[in-house]
Amino acid sequence: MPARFPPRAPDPAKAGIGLRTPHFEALAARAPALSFLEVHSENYFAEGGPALAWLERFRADYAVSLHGVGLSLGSADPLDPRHLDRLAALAGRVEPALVSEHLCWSSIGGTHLGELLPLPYTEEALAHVCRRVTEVQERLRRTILVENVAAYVRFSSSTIPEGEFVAEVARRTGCGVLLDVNNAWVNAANHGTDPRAILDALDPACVGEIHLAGYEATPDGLVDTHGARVFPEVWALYEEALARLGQVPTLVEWDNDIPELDVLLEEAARADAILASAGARPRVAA
Amino acid sequence: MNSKRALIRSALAGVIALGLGQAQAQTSGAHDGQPAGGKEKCYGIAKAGQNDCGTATHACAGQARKDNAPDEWKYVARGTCTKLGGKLKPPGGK
Amino acid sequence: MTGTGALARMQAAFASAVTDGDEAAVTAHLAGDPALARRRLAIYREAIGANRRGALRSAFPVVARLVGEAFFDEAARRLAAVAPPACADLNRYGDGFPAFLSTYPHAEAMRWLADVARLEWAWHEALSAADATGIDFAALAAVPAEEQPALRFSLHPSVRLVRSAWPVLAIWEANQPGRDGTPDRDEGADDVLAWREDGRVRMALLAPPDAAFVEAIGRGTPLEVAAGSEGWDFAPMLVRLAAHGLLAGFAGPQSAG
Repeated sequence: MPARFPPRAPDPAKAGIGLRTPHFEALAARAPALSFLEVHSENYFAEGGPALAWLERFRADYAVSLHGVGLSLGSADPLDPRHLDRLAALAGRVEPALVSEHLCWSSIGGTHLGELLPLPYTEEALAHVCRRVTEVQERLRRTILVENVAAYVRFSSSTIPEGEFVAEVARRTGCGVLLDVNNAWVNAANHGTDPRAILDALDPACVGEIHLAGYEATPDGLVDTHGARVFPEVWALYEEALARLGQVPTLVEWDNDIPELDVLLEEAARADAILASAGARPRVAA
Repeated sequence: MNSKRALIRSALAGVIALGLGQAQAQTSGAHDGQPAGGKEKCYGIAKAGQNDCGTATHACAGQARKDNAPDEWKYVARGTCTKLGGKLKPPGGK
Repeated sequence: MTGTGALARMQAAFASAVTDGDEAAVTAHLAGDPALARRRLAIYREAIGANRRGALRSAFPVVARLVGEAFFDEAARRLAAVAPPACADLNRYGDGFPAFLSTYPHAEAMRWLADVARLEWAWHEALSAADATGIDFAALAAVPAEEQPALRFSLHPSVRLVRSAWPVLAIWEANQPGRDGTPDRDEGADDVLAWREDGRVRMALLAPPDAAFVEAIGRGTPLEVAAGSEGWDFAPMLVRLAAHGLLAGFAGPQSAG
């Protein structure tokens, strides 16, 4: 299929932001320099209409990342073929630089729960997820990135540390990793584990993207709301991550209580400054 | 039937005249939808997508809701329907 | 189709806990302090409920305004209990809400409510329906006169027709931002055409014969049949459809079947 857009890839030395509807006009008018724009794939599963028209308009000027929230890679249900078809059609339409999904489950018995639910880190779950990542990559004819999710509960059946589970999915399937630094912090705080453990476990070469976001502290633990600025301790963990990984395309995510575009641009500029002081990577993930 | 066919013919002639008129207007640039002065073309108004990956917490403050017997009084509609509820005529106007 | 291993059992138990509130089965799967784990499960339960309510509220803002928050949230909760999302894309959740409201006992006094919901769903669908290039007018002009009566048109994918016994368009308009909810008319019946044009959804009230005509050609009925009875001129409606780009294509008698 002939390309409809200029090929664009994220600049590893710069940050991008999540593209959200309230910012469409401001972003189009101001056209700030950004490494890339990321959208939730499912929000563009429509067959036509203004959302897709806007996305195609932005794709002409920016590299785009499709970040899925609904494929349910870890569900015991079969992968939904309609969902996979829609994702493939969207990828064909916008020619994204990156395609990612979450290492989680969100549906069972045909009912969709619409949340990123945690997996037990067992050999069974690992083998299951790997089969499905392979299925998705074969269908899309490209590698995807898989993201570590925030988890508010843990399972007694888990036998594999989270970082090793994520690293092993990448090793077995050839997929890349989308390292969410906020999630690493949230999980460590919620479960009393070491936030650096996932950095230790991952092969730096397989990390293709980093996410930053804000959480909310509640009496029952930290909740990954994507509704606040990045917290200082998460910035610190991000610096540590870059010290090990080198420059990785980084995204500032914001989903709840979405502020003015300037707030996201300020957060992205802060990430830019940290990226600038990190070295270039020895080699970059596929 | 002949009058119906004539009606169809004239209706289609109207559609075609309209279509050809639109095509002419576009080639002459009269209404091509491109605003002057380099302003952004309008892409329409997109609704905010409902899929995201942040956990909603605005409802988390209280305890989890229990499915006890519902308090029926709570489910009396209280919005702007009070501005029309009693006035609407039932279908058929009877 | 769901697997039978430990993963499937855990997920089924988890889903029960976060939707039905039945935590008996999932407790055995959770690590750490049981009381804390139950409170953390509640984070998921509340978020799932909030996401579903939010999706419905986004698709049905007029219904939400008409009935108020408590009523709407309870209806949303009960809809999710009997018909939870069957697809991962929450933008598609809500197609069953109008039918749910039509039999919802608490909405009995608002017999027009389900039709307002149907209108809102039509609006919602029209916004994201496929794009289409307009009809080929030159090709239409080339159709021989004797073949014209058998022409079958296709409509733009965004076109929706909502036929109600109630003044649903007046109710809808009265509940747009800036209006106080008092409709201009208190009588129906409203036949409403919804469509997308220039990236915006439009709605218009149709006369009943026009609505029947649009309905007929939308089903692929030949023009001669759709044209209906003598004494009513369908031409203005056909031209109106063309003027708004709502005639997407046509097929002649040779391609019938």
